Amino acid sequence: MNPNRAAMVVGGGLAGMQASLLLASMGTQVYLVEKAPAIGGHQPLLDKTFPTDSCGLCFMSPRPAAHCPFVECERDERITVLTRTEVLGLEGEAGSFSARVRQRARGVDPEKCNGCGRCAEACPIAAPSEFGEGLEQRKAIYRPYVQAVPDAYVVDWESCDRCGACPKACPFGAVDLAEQDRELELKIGAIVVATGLKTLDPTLETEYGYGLFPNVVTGVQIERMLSRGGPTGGAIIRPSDGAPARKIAFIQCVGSRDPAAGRGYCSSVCCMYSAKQVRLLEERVPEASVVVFQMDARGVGKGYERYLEATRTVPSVEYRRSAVGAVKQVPATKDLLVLHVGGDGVQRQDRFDLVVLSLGLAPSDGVGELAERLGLAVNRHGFLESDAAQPGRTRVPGVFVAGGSREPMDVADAVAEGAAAAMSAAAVLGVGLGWPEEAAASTPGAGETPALPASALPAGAPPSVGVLLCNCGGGVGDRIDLAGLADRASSWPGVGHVAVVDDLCRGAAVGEFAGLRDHSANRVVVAACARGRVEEPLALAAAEAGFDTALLEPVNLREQCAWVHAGDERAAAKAEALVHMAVEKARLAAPAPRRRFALPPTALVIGGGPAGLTAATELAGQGAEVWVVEREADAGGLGAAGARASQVMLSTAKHLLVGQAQPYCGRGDPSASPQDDRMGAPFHLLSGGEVVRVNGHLGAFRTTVRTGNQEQQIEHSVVVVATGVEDASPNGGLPVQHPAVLTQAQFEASLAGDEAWARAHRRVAMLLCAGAPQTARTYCSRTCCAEAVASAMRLKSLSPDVEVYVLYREMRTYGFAEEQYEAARRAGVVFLRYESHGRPSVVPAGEKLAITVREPRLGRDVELEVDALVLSTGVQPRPNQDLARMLGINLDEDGFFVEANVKSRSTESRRPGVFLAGACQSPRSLADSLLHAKAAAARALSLLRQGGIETPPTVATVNERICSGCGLCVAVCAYGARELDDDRGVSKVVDILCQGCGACAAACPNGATQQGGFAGRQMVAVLDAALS
Amino acid sequence: MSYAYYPGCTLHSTGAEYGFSAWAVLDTLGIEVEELEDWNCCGASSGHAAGRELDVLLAGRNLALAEKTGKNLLVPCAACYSRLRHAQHVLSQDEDLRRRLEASSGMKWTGNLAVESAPYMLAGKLDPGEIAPRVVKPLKGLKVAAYYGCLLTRPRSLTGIPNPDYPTFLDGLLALLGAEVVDWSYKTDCCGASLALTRTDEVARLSGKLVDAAVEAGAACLATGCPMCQANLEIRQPADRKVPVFYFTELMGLAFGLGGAARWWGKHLVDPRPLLHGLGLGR
Repeated sequence: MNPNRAAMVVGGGLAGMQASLLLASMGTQVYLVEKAPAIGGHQPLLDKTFPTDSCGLCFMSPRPAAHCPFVECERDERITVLTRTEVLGLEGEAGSFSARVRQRARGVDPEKCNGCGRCAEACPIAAPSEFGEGLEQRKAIYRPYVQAVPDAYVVDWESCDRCGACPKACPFGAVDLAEQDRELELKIGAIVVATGLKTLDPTLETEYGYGLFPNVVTGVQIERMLSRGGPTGGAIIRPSDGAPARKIAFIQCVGSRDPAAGRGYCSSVCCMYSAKQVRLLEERVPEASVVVFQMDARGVGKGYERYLEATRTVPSVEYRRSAVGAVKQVPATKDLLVLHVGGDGVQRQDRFDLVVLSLGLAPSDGVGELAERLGLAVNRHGFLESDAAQPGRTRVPGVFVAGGSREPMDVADAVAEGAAAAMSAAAVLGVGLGWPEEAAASTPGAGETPALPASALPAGAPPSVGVLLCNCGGGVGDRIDLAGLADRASSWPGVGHVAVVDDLCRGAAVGEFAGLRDHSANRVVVAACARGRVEEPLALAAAEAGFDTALLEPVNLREQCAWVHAGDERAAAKAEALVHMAVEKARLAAPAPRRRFALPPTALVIGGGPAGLTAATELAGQGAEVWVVEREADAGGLGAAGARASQVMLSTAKHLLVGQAQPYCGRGDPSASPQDDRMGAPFHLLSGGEVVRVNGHLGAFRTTVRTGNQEQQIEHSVVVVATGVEDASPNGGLPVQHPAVLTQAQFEASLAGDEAWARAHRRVAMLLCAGAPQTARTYCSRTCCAEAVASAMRLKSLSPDVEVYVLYREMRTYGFAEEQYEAARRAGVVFLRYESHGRPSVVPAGEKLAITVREPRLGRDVELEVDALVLSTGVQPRPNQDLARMLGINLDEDGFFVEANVKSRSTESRRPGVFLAGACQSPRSLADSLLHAKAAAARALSLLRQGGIETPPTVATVNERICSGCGLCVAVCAYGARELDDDRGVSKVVDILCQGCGACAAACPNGATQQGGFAGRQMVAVLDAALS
Repeated sequence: MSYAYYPGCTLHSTGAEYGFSAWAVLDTLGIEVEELEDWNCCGASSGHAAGRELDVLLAGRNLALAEKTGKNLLVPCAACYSRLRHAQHVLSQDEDLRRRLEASSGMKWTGNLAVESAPYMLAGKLDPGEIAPRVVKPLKGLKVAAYYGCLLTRPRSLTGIPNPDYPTFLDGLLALLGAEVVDWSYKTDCCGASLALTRTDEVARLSGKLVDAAVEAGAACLATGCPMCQANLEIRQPADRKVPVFYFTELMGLAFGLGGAARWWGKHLVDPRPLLHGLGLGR
């Protein structure tokens, strides 16, 4: 049987988009199946995301930050986006699945629709928008949201009464109310399920009055209010009377951590999203005061602890550790009274203008059915089950789950899981079988291939600009006088020909470009729309007609002129200015020679722990040659490096990883299957090795590794850093030498398979955050709380009578671990909270220890005499300063490696070709480290699999005749793409690293550095045109 | 429809008007009820405080009696309803207690009995089409707040009544009777219940807050299905407050134009006649 080489990704949210983009860039055909009419999941709803208070999604694309992943998914010809589509059934097995899907009729042909909106104007029916939980309205034919992908209207069949107004209103015949649903059969080899989460139904929580009191809103609703593009234009108002809200309460854990309601798990993101909303709120409405009612503050991702701390210290923000009993409404004013019990046990009542419910999360609707159709299992909360040790793996080989569909998680984790699932799917599909010839033929370290053919511009011809003004079926021409504009433009210097055209996006383009050539134009201004979808086809059409795409200048006359200034005469003036500016830019544009660099499939992995070995085996498994440098001498290096993990978990990983790694340890292993042999590449383990020098850059790194007293140089395209973490030391005067004091790992080892220890101890205490500073915390080690709860339960199960006390600062059993925490309390484990500044005192008392802890709720000291004290110290980064310096990457203030973007690109540094895997980037559990390493491997592979990299037309160039070698460009370059040539006293550009950002061109004091497409004289001419 | 009927102590004493009005309304609606013979105290207010066994055995004997009738058991008093449902639940889980109940009462307990609350049966389950045609004197102008108290709807796991924190079934019934029902936030807050004797100050505070909140919401009176709440809310009003607290069945009887209605008003501690007469009702 011929294996299927395509993949299906179910769910078009962040995890699904990430999986799709990476699989596509590894050369795989992808079917992206989405139930909604547009891809993107919840992301378009969010105003900004924590902890960066920005979007940052452009970093998610495998290519350099350029486009939104939504647009990338649509533009990538290897991704087929199937919206309004559901999976009906699955047959076959890994490598040769056949999936039946049904695509619901859209009612609008996306190829014909140009998004003009006349259909919605004509539609007489209003319906509540899916966006913003009832705050907004839309028509029965609508665009899901402004930037929706696919960029086309859609019919809501439930609201539509088939009145026929919209087909009449559409000038392009795009609306078809008789369109039928269709069924498709997809031949695929692997499946990624990433169906994500939904917020809980707030009406279930009647004690908080949602749906009854107008001024009780959900987190999603406040998110929409905070959005400047939302229903209130960014104003925070009371829905009852539209008055500005000044006193605002947030109630946390609504619907989460609620065993009585059947949802005992923690939703993991609400603490952070509400903190973000509080900060945005304070920024927008400084006079507002906010009270957040919460149980524990759970900031378990990178930078989250600092983010929470910064939120807590805003003067007008108060965090109260307090359970809210009820919300009452004052009938006359619709003000809200929040009844709560404070830390002192006294019931209080405070008045607010607005109450925000931080709703928890549940699996998306329909996941149960989907699971049944795919043969997957769901847990009792309806989340998709996956392997505990290898999250993402399901009981059906070839089917992987990622993101919130398996456990509540935030954007950063969901994106990483999407990438990891892409790696798993890629391994099933064997993307390593099809390396581009360019990569396979090149020898490691080979620099570059010749530049692409230069432009088709006839040598010596004077610049002649052709201008195409697109009428957009009247969408532009009805509001801007294009004929008049064409008239005036014809007289501008350098303009050879101007044409008003219609619907450039629908096929007419090649002919129009050819027409310009007939008029001897050798560069083009296209004044059309902002539609990402048409950008590439237009560029192709221009190239087909013989134009260098570097000489193609786009202008947006639709969204940015005709629409945004509808009914305003200034639209015409703005249109003219924009076209004139583009003409000037095109007139002075120079053809940009582009160069292509080969990327040999070679990788160096630094760190031989679980994360490093995972990344290495994944890369080697797909045919890359991999070197693993492990500092420790013992082969495999598993005992020392890697994530902080218990011995039991570690041995599982060892077994797993060594089992996987074997086939790749040298070609021609007789035990390897033929396929393994074909795909497997040399795998070199350098135990007891140390990186001493790193030269070169992406595609051509030269790293010197010292093993014993020998040095060897390795040439490789990319680096994966996986140096892990180490245990932090106990902090703050604990009697660590006392025999009754042990670490969590020692404790777990004592308990392993032996009841004697449990029976010998009557009273055991555990101290969490024992390695954290006693002042403000700066980061959370993430795993200790859940570990302590699990080992407390194990102790209780071995010896039910033993008293167990867990002393904690903040209980962070996020996700399903919360249920373990609940179970531990029911089993009689006593949890005592201590304040950061009130660390318990521990004093030896003979063989025992005397512990005194100030319990904040009681307001007094609790004294315990215990037989054993177990310390959870957390982890700390290894001393990575030298390595960071050699690699040219940064460490954050806590000593962890800095990633390109904490939300959307946690698996690589800002330096191209340097990837980060596992806990060295941020503390994570063993299972999460393995996932993160897979994600890093997917990222690296998606890059290597290109075979080579083409420089963008915006690369900087140096005029060596006037360069003084001052080095300012080197200092400002964020990508390490500028270097000084000491021998010649000039600065140079490392083309392969240059992102075309222009920072060096701006910094250059005498214009020696120029940026392609943005030359100084071009810019001056453009400014003159703008001001004329 | 035919029920075994458990009046509990109050419907024969301090809450007699609840009993009278309930019987009259049930009769009008053609719902047959027969008082359970030889019933005993359900244990409410204090029984469960004296221990699990006393609590369950007192209520359990009534359950065993009711099982013998072969009918469902209808309970007007919210406190009795709560105790009986609780005992039903405990007996289904605790084999030992069940055996002791059977030994002490000399009867079998099988659990094959539905215990229903009269307020929820009449206002939440009965087809409104049964009630609307009986309304001959709509309660026009009567501004009333529906007050459920703590025990009628909670805990959710025992009662199975939807929206236990913000129920609306009594609101709906009162609107059907023609009253102007005010929406308020305190419909399931505690009145202080049996602390009336031991912590009179607390009950005065809690009950006072409820009456104040109802008035603030625009109500001139309240309607309830709990004799304990009714007593607390009327007794603890300051001298200058005259907010009557009706049993919902009284208002049903009034709207149905039942002849005996006028006799119920005398049992109230806050005389509702000035309010009713001012609206042209109840004469």
